[in-house]
Amino acid sequence: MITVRGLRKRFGHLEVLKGVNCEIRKGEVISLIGPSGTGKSVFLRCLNLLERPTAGEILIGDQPLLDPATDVPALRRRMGMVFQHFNLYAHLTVLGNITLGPVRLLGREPAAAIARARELLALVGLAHKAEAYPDQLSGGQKQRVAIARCLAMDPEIILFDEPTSALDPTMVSEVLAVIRNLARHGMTMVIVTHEMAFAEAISTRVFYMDGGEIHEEGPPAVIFGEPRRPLTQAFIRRIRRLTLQITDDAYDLYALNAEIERFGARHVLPPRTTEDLLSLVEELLALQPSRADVRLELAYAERDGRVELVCSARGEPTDVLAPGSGADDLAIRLIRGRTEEVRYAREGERNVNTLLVRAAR
Amino acid sequence: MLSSPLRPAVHLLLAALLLVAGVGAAEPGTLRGLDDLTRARIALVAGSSHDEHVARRYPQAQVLQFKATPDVVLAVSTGKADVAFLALESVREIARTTPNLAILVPEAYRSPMGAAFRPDDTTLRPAYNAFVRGLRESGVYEAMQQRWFKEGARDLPPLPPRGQGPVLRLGITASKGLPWTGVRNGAFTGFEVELAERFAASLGRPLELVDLDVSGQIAALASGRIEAIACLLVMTEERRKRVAFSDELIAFVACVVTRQDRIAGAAPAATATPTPEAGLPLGQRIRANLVDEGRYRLILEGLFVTCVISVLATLFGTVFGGVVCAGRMSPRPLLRQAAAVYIWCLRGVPVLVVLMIIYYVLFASFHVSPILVAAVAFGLNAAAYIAEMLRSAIQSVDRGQLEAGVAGGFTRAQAFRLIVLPQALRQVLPVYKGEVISLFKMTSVVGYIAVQEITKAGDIIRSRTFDAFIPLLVTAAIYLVLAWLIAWALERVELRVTPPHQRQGTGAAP
Repeated sequence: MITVRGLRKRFGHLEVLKGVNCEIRKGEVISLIGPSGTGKSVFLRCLNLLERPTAGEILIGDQPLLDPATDVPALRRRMGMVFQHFNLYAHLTVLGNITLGPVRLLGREPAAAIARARELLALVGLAHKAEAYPDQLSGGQKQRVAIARCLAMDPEIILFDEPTSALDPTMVSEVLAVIRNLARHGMTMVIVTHEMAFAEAISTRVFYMDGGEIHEEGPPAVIFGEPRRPLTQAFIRRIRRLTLQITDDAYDLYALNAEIERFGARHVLPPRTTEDLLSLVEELLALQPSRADVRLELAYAERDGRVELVCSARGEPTDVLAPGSGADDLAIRLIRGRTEEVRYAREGERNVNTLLVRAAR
Repeated sequence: MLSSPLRPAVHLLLAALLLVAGVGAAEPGTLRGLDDLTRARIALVAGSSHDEHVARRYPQAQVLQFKATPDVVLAVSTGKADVAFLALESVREIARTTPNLAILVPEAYRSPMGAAFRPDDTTLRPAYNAFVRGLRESGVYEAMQQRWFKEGARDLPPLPPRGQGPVLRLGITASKGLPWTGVRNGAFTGFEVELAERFAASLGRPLELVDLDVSGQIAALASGRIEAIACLLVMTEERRKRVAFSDELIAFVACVVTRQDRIAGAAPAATATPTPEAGLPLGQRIRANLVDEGRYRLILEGLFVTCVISVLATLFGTVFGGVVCAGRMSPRPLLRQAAAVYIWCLRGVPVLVVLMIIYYVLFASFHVSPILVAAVAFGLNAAAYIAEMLRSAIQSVDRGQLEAGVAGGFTRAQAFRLIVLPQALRQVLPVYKGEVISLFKMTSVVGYIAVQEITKAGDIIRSRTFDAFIPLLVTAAIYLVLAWLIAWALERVELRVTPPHQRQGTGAAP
């Protein structure tokens, strides 16, 4: 029911969408996932023309959305939207919020609209809040009212723009439950979300967006289970990276340590893992015959807690960690004790040691 | 101690302080005659002939310029000025109500007085001169002088009927006071008024008297608001450059008055009181200021005019403010720019100046009711402020509100009207209330363009009673009550549009 071809959106010099193509069929539940700033929300907002695309084509049914002759407000009536910040009409009660559209736009009798609004409120579990004002509701309640407000227009599709991102963690589940319920009843939905487990559970298809395009799409089992492309894998496993470059024997070890500690704190690494990393880095650098060009890469996968440390140094082919290589045996033993696996490879002019840091328990 | 660059500034400050202290400490000595005026504080009506005379003769004196005769009288009787220059005829009238004034010099100078016409006038001035000659020959003029100046008449005699032709607009100054011109029972009266009435009748034209301050007369004549100045002006050199005078009607005798206890050789001022009216019992003063000669009617009429101007200006200002706000927020740069310039101008120019520009410049040659001019001027001023209030209120409504409406299928206009505007209006109400009250109070300056609103009504009463206390207090009380009523009414509206659970916060009356 929605076809998108070559959709581009540019803000000044920044091209946010670089040619998005997709097809959304009736009854599908599409999750849009991906790192922040890759255009997921912009793409969603293009679908109901809250953002005007720079180029491309969007068909709603068979109506071209970007055609000047198209009655856009009429099309929007068929497409509900739920916002990250709820956007309930602050001057109206819950009932007023839900009935404004049906009465003003669909020509419903106020009494009928109110009766329907009460049904929908019961559906989202807020029948007792009909007379309340938005500022008297919690975030989760507001978002459920916003969903009821969408449903009151009898939409053919609902667009969710990060519906739980602004919520207290304790309120996420009540909103997700309502959306899950809608999915069960066959509502067509497009959901921008960071709730991976939720996306995996309810989607019929998942779009992984990165770099302004749909980088990979597929059924949730594939995207979350065995994604094909490296960016998708990195995202799904939630791999955080830190690259450190040393260009001089007289490097500043304390600055290096500070950066590693910061990385650990930001991604909530277990304290022991951070300590292990600090000593590993120090020993590895001490073992290097030259520190004129050493690159250290840290990768932390949030999903399984794996921490990988890659040390790549330019120089004569030698594995500094090989036993009996003439180097400091104590240092090697120390490194072995803190890792589960150590690999060596020669890549071009560089010696590459890959260390899998032992899991903290 | 002090760094040297600061020292000159400190010296300047000290000098200024000494100057202020010195002025404040000036010992009020006794006065003997004109020679004592050299360094005195002299009160006079701004734009009057005394102004020129004093500037020439007493360049060292400190001149205090007031808007009208009663203010001059008050300045002397309360000791704010040492002496005042007044017309001898006025003093006779003033002496009745202000017993502690005394004449220091009965005739400081004498100069001819006459009506004034535009310099290029070729018909009205000869007609006036001929009319006055006829009046003198028939003896009517002498009778008039006798009645007003010697017998102290207060009401107009029966006058010849008014004509039918085009309206003759003549300028007078009601605050000049009797016997020249005053207000009794809500109507103009006095020597000048009778003269003007007779002149209009001789031309067979109906008369309209435009009440302007002395300083505003010549400007009004030049801009065509009035055809001639019927309040008799002293023919000074300065004025001759701007207007053409009629033949001399009467000799103006300027006299110098001072407080009785300041005159040398006078009895010790044991009974002298700081204000002239304080000696009378309060009931009598209230009666004199509010009841006698139907003065309460002046106040009621003034109140009505004030209300009309305020209501019209508020309505016009609100609607036009909305228009300016729309321009200010328009997607078209030209409209945005125009609205910004408008706001910049109207917020930067005092409303009184705007009022006078509209009255004396823009509408100079159309005869629009000054009440309407005032409503437009205050409306234009309020519109600039209201436009900015609205804009900030609209901008303070979260963008998501409009987006939610648009995403829900409303057009932008519908979403604005149904969702953004109600929230913006609710926000703007408290500041709007303040603006309406301040507009209402600002209307007190429209006396400048010959509108008799409530402040001006108080001024006119003061010109008859020379009592500052009661008229000012009554005026203040009326403003206070009305401002409170406006606040109360707008707070009711505020309360109505505020959801019940948010109401404790609003400062509305219960």
